[in-house]
Amino acid sequence: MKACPREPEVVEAVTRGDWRQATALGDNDLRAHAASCAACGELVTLMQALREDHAVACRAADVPAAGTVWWRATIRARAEAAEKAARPITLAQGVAAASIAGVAAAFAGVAWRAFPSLPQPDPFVMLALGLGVCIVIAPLVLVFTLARD
Amino acid sequence: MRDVTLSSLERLGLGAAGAPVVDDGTLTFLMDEDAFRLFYDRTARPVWAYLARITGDRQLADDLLQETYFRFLRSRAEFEDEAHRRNYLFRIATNLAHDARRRAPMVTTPVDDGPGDFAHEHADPQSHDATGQAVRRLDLSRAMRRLKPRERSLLWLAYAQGSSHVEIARTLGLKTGSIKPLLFRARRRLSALLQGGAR
Repeated sequence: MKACPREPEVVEAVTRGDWRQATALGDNDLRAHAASCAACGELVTLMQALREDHAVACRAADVPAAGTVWWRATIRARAEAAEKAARPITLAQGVAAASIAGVAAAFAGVAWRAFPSLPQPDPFVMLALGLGVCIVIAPLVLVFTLARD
Repeated sequence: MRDVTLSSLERLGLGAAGAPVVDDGTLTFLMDEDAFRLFYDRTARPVWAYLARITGDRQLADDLLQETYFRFLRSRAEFEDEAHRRNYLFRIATNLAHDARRRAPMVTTPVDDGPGDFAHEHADPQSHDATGQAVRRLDLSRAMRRLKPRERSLLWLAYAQGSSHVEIARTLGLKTGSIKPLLFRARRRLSALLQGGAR
């Protein structure tokens, strides 16, 4: 089946309202055409079914009141804005926690050196250890903070 | 639902009229509450019907409706006219339905097969054709569900809502010239499914 050049006219007539009413108002020629043209006949049948379905679905739609939708939207917008504002604080908390861990590791290193009887590791190993602690702690703190939020 | 007191609203920063407080430029909406109410009352039901039909799920349509209007309000788009604004709203709805389908392709609460079937609930009882109408709608619903999502959107927008090809192209993010052949193919498929029995 090929598309018919008169399809736009049919679409317009059905969209205007009831097809029977539209044809009664002077589109008899179009109605006769749709009866003999397979493409237009199919189009009318489908359009009528879809438009009927649309009308029933619109009647059945149990949509919330406009005020409720507006109210929920304002609350959500406010919550999102607050979350956005808190993001730098969360980041700062992560950095602070990592710094504390680094300083604690440094103190532990100094304290270790105060006891010469204990085996003394290389200072570079200590530094690497301190950095490692920071690198491990910082993401963990961020994950826990964001999970709490 | 939890009761919301005036103090809790104040803590959230909402004024007496429920308007968002614009203190940092992040809470501005696309329109004020009165304009929104008018726009919503004109569009909510068609948007819900569209969502219900293209997702095939009433519950999902309920959720996506709220999300559609939230994203619409938060957008910074500018509109030439009412039709443009409406097309933009349907575009948001289309994208949300598409995202929801990717996340959860299984249909959970079918539009017409569940206990809350509006094909039966809302058929005109005065009409002699009420049962026939319900059966036709059930067949249509089943056939629509077997179409590709884009085909469902195309058919609904073009034939149920009466949108022009330009409007459909805007809503679905397609070229205007491609709408006619795509629509024709979708129509042929729907017709074949209906004639062959969509069960």
